[in-house]
Amino acid sequence: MENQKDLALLIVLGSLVFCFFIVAFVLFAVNYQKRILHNDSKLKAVKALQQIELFNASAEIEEREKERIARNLHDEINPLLNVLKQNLQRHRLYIMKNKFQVESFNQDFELIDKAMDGIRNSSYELVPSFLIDYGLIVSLKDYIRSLNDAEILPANFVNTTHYNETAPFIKQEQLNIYRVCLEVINNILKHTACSQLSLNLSVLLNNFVIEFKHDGLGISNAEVEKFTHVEGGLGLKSLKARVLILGANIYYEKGKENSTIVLKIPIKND
Amino acid sequence: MSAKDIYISFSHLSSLSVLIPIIISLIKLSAFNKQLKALFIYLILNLSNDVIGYVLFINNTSTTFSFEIFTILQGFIVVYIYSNQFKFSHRTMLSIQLLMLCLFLFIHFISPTSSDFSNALVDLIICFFGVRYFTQIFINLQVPVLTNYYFFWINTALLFYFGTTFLFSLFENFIRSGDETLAFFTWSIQLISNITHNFLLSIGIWKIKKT
Repeated sequence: MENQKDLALLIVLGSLVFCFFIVAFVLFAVNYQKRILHNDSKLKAVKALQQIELFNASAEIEEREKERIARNLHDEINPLLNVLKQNLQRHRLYIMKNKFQVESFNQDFELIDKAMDGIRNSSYELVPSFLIDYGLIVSLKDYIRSLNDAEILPANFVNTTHYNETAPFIKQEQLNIYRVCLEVINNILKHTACSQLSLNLSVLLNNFVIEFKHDGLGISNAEVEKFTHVEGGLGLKSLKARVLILGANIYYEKGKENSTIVLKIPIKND
Repeated sequence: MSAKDIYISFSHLSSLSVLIPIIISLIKLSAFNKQLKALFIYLILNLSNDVIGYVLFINNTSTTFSFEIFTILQGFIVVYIYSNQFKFSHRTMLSIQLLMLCLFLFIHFISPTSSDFSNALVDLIICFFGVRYFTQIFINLQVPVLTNYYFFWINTALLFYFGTTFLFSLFENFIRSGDETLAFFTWSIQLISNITHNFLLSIGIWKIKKT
């Protein structure tokens, strides 16, 4: 009888332990989910902050570009046009006095050419007309050719994609890709002390891949991430913002002999 | 107040407590989907079982058969509810129900006078589904705020009740044959967990939103 009572008590205790475990399990589930959600919202907030920072950097870069173009127009083209205006007034006066100077008039044509060059360069900086007319691939090829021609750096251009002129992206995306490429090449020229550069285009698993290979000092993803968040890293921030807008990914690989920077842009509509 | 008096008080409270989720269900009936309609049937079944059990008890008739039928139906409905939740195919759900029926028949064959094992089997199945639901939440994290989601409360209610009463179900006959005071005490615990179960179900049904 006593044993039976003990066993019955054990059953009661066992059931209470079961009950305790179930309550603990449910409370754990609720708390665990709360903690995960809290961490998730924190992570989202940090990401949102980073994105704002990136877009601010991108906007600042654009502002600076506009300022530079405005300064260019104001300081270079405006004085030229002023000189030209004065020269034309002088020529009118000479014509009235029947003392027209053909040589001086011809020199003014050079001034017009200079002004036209200045305007062309400024508009090219706003939107590269070459890119608009010929597309991304031809523009990149031309840019690499210009590096060789100006003897800045021996550079190679290899295109293994089936796209010959324009890449499978809309104009705005091509412009963004072009600016990313220019920023990457500028960074390579400025910071790597390389003696050779190769730009390779390929298509891999529905991604348009642009690989920049050089023999200079490489940089790793972690280092780039560090430099992006230091004050003043505007170029990198703007580059990251453009990559983000494109929905692309950029990878930095540091090698002993060669280092690479790979830009992977998903192809949405082929 | 003796243990028997306490047991009887809890027994009345327990029988009445099932009315709370039923009343809330009637208020929210227009927002019910298939799963909740099954839950409503489950509640009606609980109420009917209490009423039939009481009638059989005052007529000095064995309740074993009616309890077995109730247990089988309860098992089927709960499997249906969880199958809906886990989006099981019709075939999977029917297979589980068929397997359960076979086990019931087997248990009935080896122990025809007791419903202990079939009760314990239902308890085990429900505990398994209840734990699976929580582990799924951990993996998928699809529910934004757990305590605002109706099924969290329903699952907690089922897991709590069937988990707590598992050992009682398994040793029901043993408890019945032992010390009376202790038996009333254990049944009182069972009744308290049933009241809690009904209360949690009520919260769950109350949390249902019209879609």
